[in-house]
Amino acid sequence: MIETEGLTKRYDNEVLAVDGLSLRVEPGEVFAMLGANGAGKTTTLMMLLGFVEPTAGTARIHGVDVVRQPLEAKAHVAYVSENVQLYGSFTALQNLEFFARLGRRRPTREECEAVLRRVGLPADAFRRRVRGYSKGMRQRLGIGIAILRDTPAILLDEPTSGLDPKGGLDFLALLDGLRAEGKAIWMTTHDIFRTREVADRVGMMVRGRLVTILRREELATADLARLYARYVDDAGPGGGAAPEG
Amino acid sequence: MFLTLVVKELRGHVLNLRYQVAVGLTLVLVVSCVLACARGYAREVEAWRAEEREFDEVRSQDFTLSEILDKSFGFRRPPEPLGVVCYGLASAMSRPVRLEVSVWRGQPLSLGSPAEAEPVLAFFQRPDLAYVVAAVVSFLALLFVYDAVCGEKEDGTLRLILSSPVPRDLVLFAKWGAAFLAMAAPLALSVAVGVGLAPLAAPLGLGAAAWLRVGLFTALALLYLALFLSAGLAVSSLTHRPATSLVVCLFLWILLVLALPALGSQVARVLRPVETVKHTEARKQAKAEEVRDRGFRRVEGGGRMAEWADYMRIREEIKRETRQIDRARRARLLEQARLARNLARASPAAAFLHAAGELSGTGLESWTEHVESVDRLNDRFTGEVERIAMDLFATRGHEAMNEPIQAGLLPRLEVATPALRQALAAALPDAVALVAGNALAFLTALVAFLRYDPR
Ligand SMILES: Nc1ncnc2c1ncn2[C@@H]1O[C@H](COP(=O)(O)OP(=O)(O)O)[C@@H](O)[C@H]1O
Ligand SMILES: [Mg+2]
Repeated sequence: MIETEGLTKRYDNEVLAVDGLSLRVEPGEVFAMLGANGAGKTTTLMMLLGFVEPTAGTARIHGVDVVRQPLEAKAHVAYVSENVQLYGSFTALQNLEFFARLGRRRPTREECEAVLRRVGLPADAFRRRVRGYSKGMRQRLGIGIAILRDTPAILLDEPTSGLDPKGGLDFLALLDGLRAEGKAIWMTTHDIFRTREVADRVGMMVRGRLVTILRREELATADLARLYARYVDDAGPGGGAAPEG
Repeated sequence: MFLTLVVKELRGHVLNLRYQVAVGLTLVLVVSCVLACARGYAREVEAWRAEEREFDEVRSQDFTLSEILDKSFGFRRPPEPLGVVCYGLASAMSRPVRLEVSVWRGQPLSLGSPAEAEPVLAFFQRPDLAYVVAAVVSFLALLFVYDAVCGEKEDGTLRLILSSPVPRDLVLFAKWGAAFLAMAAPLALSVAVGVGLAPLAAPLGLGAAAWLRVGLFTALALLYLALFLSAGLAVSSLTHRPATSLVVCLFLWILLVLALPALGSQVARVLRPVETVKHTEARKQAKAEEVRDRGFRRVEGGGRMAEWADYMRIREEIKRETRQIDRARRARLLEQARLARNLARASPAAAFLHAAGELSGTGLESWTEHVESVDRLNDRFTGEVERIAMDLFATRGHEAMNEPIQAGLLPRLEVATPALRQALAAALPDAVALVAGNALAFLTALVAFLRYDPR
């Protein structure tokens, strides 16, 4: 479970990046956060990871306050960045094992290989150095780490950007599996169409404020187009739609 | 968790070509320079033996008192075997010493010839083991860790690590520990192999005590290595791009290893100048002349004469006055050397070399002891000749000057080397400076690392 309560970040330069965000992502739920560049999505994730200190409000992961007990909180959350960066001179298995151990797990070789198969890496890549991996393969490996760490909460930053169609489909299947395992998943994305297929709820972020939350069944095609129009509209410089809802 | 981090770092190092090159280079340089220094030592021993034979040849003869008063006798300290570890002031100490009993012009300074060599400048003479560690190992250490933190910042892997439930300081401790292990092991091994193989190149005859000193030197070298790893990590934590870090590290190396030690010597020479040997000799001669003028009566035909009692008094006075000039100069030299050493302590390289010299018996402390032992020899030698002369005059009267004297019975140079305890005490301030520098560098690294914003 991921909870925020009035979560606010005002940077030193007075930019109000996140403004009073209150939200709760339940176990077995996928929450997708949509928003233009600069809307405050990354700042929100950084606060959940304890990398950025909130100006006000609280955030809890699996009931643990991220500011007061940062290490405990991190033990309950796995993070997959937009561009997954791993140790190029290590093999997939070595990277996987290292990060799993940092997450206080001690997976066996079989478990590691099972996870790599699950995220769809070809078997001949398991023992290859990650240096030669494509972005999509690194992405899969990053998700593999999150799976192996087996945390109740998962944060994904732009997970589908740069994936080919097959990769996108595989990703949706993976996310379905994780949801079925009861993970609370919080992702940010630009990919509005794929979002519809996987998210249980979609939140629309405009200038630090969560202006709209749509449930899965509300994500009808018409709504989506409207949402998308506003999303695009808001992306332009100075073209901000007035927050509503 | 710590072990996981250390193992990952070690694995990263070992897989890295840079590391393999660094290890190979360390081994080759350390071993080859120890062997080269050992060969140099063997040559020095040969030269020393040849000279000793000449000295003994002279000493085996009988001389009359008047001959002895005209003669000079040579002495030379044998080369220091641990000079293969740190040559230091070895060349100043192994200069031949010539003793003259005649004091009429004031004894020349070559009496205590090691004093002629300015101990301030005598370091960094020879690419010995200590020099390889001071210059090359420090360089390799910086090259080894300059991107340890900022490389991971740039690659983005640090962010993934920090999103894990790992205490941050542990990450830095692991980086330091792994880098130290990875470099300390080959360094210590290289020293052991080098010094172990050295007897092939020269009969060093290192006993248990000498090996203990080699061990202490190795510990000192590891402390020095640790300091540069900390400094490199500090730069790496403070910067964001490996290229920047590399430039800063190179600059730091030039400053700490090349610039500061030289600057220390130069500043000491300006603040505590010591007159040239020529100048001192001239002053001594002038002094002797002055004493003679006062004491002797001028006689017709340009000669001078004095009563026997006056003659002895004048002799004593010249001896006293000229020695005072010599010793004042030497004290000044030592003062200059100590100041240079204290100033240069700002440089870890200088601190390391000075401490290494003390441990190897070629440091300032050993130099001082040696110079003092030459002074003592001088006193004993002239004292002995004077005693013999007095006896002869008492028994033989004016025949005394032609009596044969066995030169072999006259005093010899005692080789004075500071005991290990003394050497340790002399090396301590420099070792403390290295520990303090290390602590400061590591603390800087830690603060910078804890403040890093992984966004
Ligand atoms: N370190 C920072 N200091 C000051 N302002 C920042 C900083 N990081 C982000 N911002 C500002 O905060 C706002 C939100 O940024 P961000 O969270 O990165 O948005 P998103 O991820 O949705 O693109 C933007 O206006 C951005 O310029
Ligand atoms: Mg962003």
